[in-house]
Amino acid sequence: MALLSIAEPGQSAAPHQHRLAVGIDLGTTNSLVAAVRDGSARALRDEEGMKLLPSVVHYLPGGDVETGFEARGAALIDPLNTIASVKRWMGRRLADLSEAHRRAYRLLDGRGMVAVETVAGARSPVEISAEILKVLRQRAEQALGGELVGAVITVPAYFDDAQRQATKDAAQLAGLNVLRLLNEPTAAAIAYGLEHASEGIYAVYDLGGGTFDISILRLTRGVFEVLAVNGDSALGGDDFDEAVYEWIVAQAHLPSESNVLPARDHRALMQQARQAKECLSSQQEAEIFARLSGGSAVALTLTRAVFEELTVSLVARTMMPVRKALRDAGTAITDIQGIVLVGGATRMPAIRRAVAEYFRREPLTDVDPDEAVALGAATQAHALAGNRTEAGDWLLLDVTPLSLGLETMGGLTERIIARNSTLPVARGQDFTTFKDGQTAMSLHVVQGERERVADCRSLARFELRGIPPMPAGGARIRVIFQVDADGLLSVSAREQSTGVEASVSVRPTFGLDDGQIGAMLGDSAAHAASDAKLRALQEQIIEARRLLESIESALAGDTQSWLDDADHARLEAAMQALRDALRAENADRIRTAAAALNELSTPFAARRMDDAVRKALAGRQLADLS
Amino acid sequence: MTGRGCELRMSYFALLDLEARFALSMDDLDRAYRALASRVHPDRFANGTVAERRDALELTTEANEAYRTLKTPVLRARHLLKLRGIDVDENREAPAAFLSAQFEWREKLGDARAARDEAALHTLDAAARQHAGDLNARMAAQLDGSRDDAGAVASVLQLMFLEKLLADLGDASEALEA
Repeated sequence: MALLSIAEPGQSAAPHQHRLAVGIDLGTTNSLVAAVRDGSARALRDEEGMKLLPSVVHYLPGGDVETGFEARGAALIDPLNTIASVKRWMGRRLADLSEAHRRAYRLLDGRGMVAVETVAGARSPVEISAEILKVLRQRAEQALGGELVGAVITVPAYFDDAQRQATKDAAQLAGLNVLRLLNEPTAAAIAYGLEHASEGIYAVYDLGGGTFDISILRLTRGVFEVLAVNGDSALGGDDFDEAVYEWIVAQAHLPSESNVLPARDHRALMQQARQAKECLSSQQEAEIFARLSGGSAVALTLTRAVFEELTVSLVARTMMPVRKALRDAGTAITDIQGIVLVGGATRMPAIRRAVAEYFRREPLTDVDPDEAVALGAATQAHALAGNRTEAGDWLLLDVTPLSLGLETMGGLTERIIARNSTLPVARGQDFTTFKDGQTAMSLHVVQGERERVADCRSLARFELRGIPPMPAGGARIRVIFQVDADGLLSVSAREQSTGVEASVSVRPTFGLDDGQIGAMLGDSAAHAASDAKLRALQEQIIEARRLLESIESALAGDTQSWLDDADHARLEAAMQALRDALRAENADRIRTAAAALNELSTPFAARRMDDAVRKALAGRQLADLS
Repeated sequence: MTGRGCELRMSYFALLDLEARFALSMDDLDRAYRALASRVHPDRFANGTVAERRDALELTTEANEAYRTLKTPVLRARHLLKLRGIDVDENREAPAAFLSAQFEWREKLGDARAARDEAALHTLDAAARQHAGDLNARMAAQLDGSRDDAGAVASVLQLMFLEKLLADLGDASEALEA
């Protein structure tokens, strides 16, 4: 068949030549690098023989940077310049972060993403992560004795497009060629599946330092097929530490309001909290002791029973995504062959118990929860770099974790690609113009499962211009979403009769120079304003004006068929409220008034649309309808 | 790669080297899809040229769409009808008898949801699945045997309704569990 007559797999390397590639688990708490040597994947050690690298970066005056254990040691002495758990900030804005994070650092709204003020200046999560990756890259080049062809970097399966893009940018900034972004549970499944030559349906329960993922996979003769993923990208072991921290603060009668406790004391207690949590995985009791900067000391005993009481709701929170993933996969609990536990936090007995109870079988524990992800990534990197694999030909089929769509009238989401679609995937949908003579169309790309655009994550906005003037509903605009094997999205729009096109690679602008990462194509005016608050206000104003304009033009036409006088008056009143809010330039008022007007006008928009379609059809000649 | 214009007429059965019939063994489909994906997946061309990588992306995208379409009975039937020149979306008139049946299903779902009656939801779910199974069998006879395409369109429409209903039943059960 002509379609299949493309070249055989491009393994350009000579068979004897080993191309160096690594797998990197860029974790919230710890990171690892692994490589395939002598046919099996192994984690690489640093000069001191350590495999784990704490994901901590310490910025010093004068521009020096410390990472890993050294940096973790500095956390108590120089807390504000010592950044831990940066993964939780990737692709996130200040408003997305938890109170605990906001009180631990000097955070500010950077370009498109949060940034942290350090003694070395403002640093973005991408730059901080790149420091960790640089160290791992050096370690690998030293251990393997040569330059790397590339790396597979793992991300939580439930990472959205912004978080994935930020991870890829960090790797590129660290001088790594990214062969692939790989979902962490899938990586663990590769490590487990290839080692045990398993077949059947497996669940991977991955509770890391800052993220939770559940993946359902089918393993068949060398094919790893992800059936469904779900999770919570803001739930992890860190939250258990915080629960203990809150308990310590309450027991020791310390001030609980944010920013009252000195940053150093906060860090000291957080460290005690983490140690107590880890200790309680094997012991029934943990001692907590810290001397505070005021000279007083905190000395407490935490029992496992109390700890489990404090964290019972966190454990429960992981079960909802599990249910959803099973449902999306069309799989019953009894179909599950085994449950693989990944992530250091799964060492907690309460987690193991909850998982065993839910799946009605004991989870598999013969993979090292710390290393499985990096080992799987290394195996994949080895194969992608064009090396022969011991396990023979195997293939990985991953899915998109969250639905992707476009904003339509009334702030609602039109889903284009459903979550858990096998990658790569492309899907198109036709849209049309709403107004007579409309020559431009603005497209707002969003990601998430909620009906309302406001509840989803905004990925990009762009415009299709140069549509020839036609009656409303006349233009035929096909919008195509393409998600590649890394799970990254690009969107294109094309007016079918004229071929006018516009496209955007969805790359939210991060705190890097434009030269370092590709700028967004198309209309990026919305990102130009430096002040995030100002930008938010501007977006509100633009949205509000757009809404007003569309309703005004609707009311200017023949309204009899779809609007009675009372409704007309109600619409006018809501419009006036929005105009007043716009004049006052008050973002909150604009938001509220726009939402109210939106709510009120949505049913009429639908009625008018029907009406317009009928008229457009009635006015046409039969020949046009062919 | 063929031009974009041919897309609509492209047979997913042909792409996967399968006979264009509604009755289809899922094992055969799985095998055919995996064989194709193994050859054309972008991971096989990580070091390939830009053109190879673009072709790999397009072909695998196509293979994934074919697999998804043929795996799902409603989509498979629609695709088969489209290959025969019939677009289900242009023939959306359901028989009156089924319309009243739809109201009944919906009413029962509404009642069970309002009463938070998990058992009733389960009963309804089982009944809907049973009915969907019957429809699948009927559709196979209509599409592969008697070639009753008009009848098949009616079956597809009913099955589409049932799938939506099953999804809503799932949501309702999930809401009760939460």
